Amino acid sequence: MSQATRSVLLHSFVIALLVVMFFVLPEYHSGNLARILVLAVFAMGYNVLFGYTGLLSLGHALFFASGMYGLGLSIQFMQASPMLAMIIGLITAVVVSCVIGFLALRTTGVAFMIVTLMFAQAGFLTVLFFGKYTRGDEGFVIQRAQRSMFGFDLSQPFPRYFAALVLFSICLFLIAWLVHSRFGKTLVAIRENEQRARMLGYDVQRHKLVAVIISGTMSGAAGAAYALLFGYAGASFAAVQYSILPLLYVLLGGAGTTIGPLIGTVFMFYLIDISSEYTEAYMLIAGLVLILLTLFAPHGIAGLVRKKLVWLP
Amino acid sequence: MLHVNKIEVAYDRVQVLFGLSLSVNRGEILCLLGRNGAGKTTTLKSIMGLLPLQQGAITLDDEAISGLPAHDRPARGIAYVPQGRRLFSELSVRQNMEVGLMASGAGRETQEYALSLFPRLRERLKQRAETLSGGEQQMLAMARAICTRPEVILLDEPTEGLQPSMTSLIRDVIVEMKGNGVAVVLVEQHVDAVLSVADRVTFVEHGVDAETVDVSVLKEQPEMVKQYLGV
Repeated sequence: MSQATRSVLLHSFVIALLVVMFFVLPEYHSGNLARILVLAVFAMGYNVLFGYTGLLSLGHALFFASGMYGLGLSIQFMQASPMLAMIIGLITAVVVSCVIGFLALRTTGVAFMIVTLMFAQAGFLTVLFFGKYTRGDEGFVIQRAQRSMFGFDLSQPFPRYFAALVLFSICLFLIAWLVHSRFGKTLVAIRENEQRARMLGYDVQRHKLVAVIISGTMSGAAGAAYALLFGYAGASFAAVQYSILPLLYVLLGGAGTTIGPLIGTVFMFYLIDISSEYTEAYMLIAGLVLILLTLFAPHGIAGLVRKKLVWLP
Repeated sequence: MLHVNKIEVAYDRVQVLFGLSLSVNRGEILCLLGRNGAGKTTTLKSIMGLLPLQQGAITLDDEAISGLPAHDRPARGIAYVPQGRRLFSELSVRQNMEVGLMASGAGRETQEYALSLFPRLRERLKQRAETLSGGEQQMLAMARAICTRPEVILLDEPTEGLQPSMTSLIRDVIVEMKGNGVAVVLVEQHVDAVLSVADRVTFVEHGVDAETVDVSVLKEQPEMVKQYLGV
């Protein structure tokens, strides 16, 4: 069986499993899973840059928030339809990632991390500064009446879950295709040895910029979907915590793997969810588990599986 | 074919090349010999565009390439196999070669040709590059360069640290490339290896080309080696 066929079968199986999960899981968990799917899209976007291109960004909250506020503000102030608002959210993320990519890619390594972090902080402060429109920390609610798409009320569990699943599936197959494409293979070559890739004739800077744009747009799509499906946009989504979270999801799940971001997001989400039931110091437990995983599975959970199944994309 | 004309190159403020010139034609092997720090690797990096020229010019088929960025030079037919191989260590042998193929737009026949030169790589196609032996890594580095279908190949100490059987295989491939009309610029420490494959030798000393001679002259006057290398 060819690698491409295996890849299609694996991803189709994951999606089929997620369809079944909605009907099997109690409502609380299927609600969680809808949120996890959207956050996994965010992590998949992050994975394009970190896992496949080898660029560690600490500013992805900016892309997430761009999509979120692009959608949220256009609904609030332009009474845009959810579809139009989604498109505006995506365009906002594309524009922001183009600008940030163009500027931040003038640096490398630690400087790239710092510059992306600073841009994200500037974005966070901008959200607070324009509190009159964004309502700052408090955020704003997108009313139920404004969250219907194609006749489906996205505030209801069933349409919400399957809308999240559709977005997740599109992004998953997009990433799977990207990984096997010429462009994706070049990104991996850049990750492995940037100078060598340049010496073989690849325009490294252009490839990195496109990777930032794909990564930022996917993260923005997640932000827009989050606001639309869960009806809220707030400054906390632009804060540094939302730049760290996708990094953790990807590290735990397996950087440079297609299903790693989903695994990492599920793991991290439930780690916090379950441990917070027992103690207020749940972050201590989360931290301990993270240390253990980093020690014993440095390539993440999917990375561990890949040692046995080398074809895992 | 490739002409390097009086180039001056510096690492920040430390000048390394002080007007070095060389030329190599199709189907010819030019070897650069010199002491450590003489500027041999710097010359190769400058040809590849990894270091900017302060003075001088580099032309390929009478066309100036000095102003081209490094990533545009392989498209003009220049390949560089640096010292230490620099493979994509986490990628498989096949994937490493594919990166070379994609860069040149070459088809499977080019990969087959490279594998025919290094049959051992065929047995290792799925193996990760970092798990190969030193000799196999060198084979892969050269195979990947061949996948870019070069007209000029720059080889920096390709036999360094390899066992004798591997060394002779690498030499055979260099001669094969020469036979196919490729211009080869070879940096080598082993004088015996140089004498067995090179057509001409340029001695590099203190960042300039001190002297260029046919290899036949060097065979007749071995004292030249001692003069420039001190061995």
